[in-house]
Amino acid sequence: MEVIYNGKNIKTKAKNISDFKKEQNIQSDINIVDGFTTDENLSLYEGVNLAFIRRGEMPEKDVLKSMIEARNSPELNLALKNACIGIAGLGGLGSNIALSLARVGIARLVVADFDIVEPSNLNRQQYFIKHIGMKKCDAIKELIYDANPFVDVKTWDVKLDSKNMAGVFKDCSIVCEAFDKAEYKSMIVNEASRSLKDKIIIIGSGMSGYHSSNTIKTIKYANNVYICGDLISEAKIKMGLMAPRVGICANHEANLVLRLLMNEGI
Amino acid sequence: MIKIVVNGKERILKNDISVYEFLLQNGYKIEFVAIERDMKILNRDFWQKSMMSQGRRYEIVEFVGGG
Repeated sequence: MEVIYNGKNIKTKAKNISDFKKEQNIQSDINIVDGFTTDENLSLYEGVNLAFIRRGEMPEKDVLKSMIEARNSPELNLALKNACIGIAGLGGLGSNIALSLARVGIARLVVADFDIVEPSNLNRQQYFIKHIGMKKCDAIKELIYDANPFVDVKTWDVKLDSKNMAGVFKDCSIVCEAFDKAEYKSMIVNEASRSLKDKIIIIGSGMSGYHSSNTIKTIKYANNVYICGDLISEAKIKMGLMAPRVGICANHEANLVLRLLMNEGI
Repeated sequence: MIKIVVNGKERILKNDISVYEFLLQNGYKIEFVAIERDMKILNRDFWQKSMMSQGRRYEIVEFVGGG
């Protein structure tokens, strides 16, 4: 039968994991079978995706990609290969969305932000002390490369507006809104009916404070617009923006991207 | 008299008014608002020209800052 081993198609006579490892002369500590880590000597089946990892060993670059994606649900990897996703803004929402999508191995990201990293960003954004003063575009590119060097990242160091957005995100099927200001959220939704009408737009609205995590949800809004958040918790005086709820909201957006790529609903 | 549904609730308007006028009368912060009319986003360029009677179901969202 034919199986996929560390990203390559291989013909084997082995019936189970143990025999396969003997046949291929593999020494490993971690066995991953179709996205699941197991110590059991499971039977192999046609097309099964196998990753065998030796703990602490740096793999060759061509094998690294398959190892990074080994814990993903296998069918998702196919959808990720052709995906190009836009992220409008690289603050608390955008930096988290970018890293989540990069970690699962999205093929292409198009990200835009004109800002630089400053100390008050660090309570919720994915940047580190060493990034202070750096363009967010450059900092996120570095972080993505460190997490998953196989993601093709296009950065736009621009202030997005209703005129330039369609050009920036022209290759993207889905655009995640990750602005700070409410009027920009409103602006991108407005473009969903005009210059971005062939795309799906995901908005984040309402994630400040330390209210219950369970108030943050994903809803379908219009034919091509979704909203994530609790819809009401506005960032204002005495109502901060902190890593946990901003991260929850960002990952609502990121998970919706995966679901839409898999043709699932909210 | 006009019957419409706004954010899931039936509303009865005595007179037909523009979408823009409806937003003002109901205290929405215009710059933060998005309007979905019968499943499609109604572009803000049309808020003054469009009458509420031109739709049946409206979902009006007022976005809040933070990200």
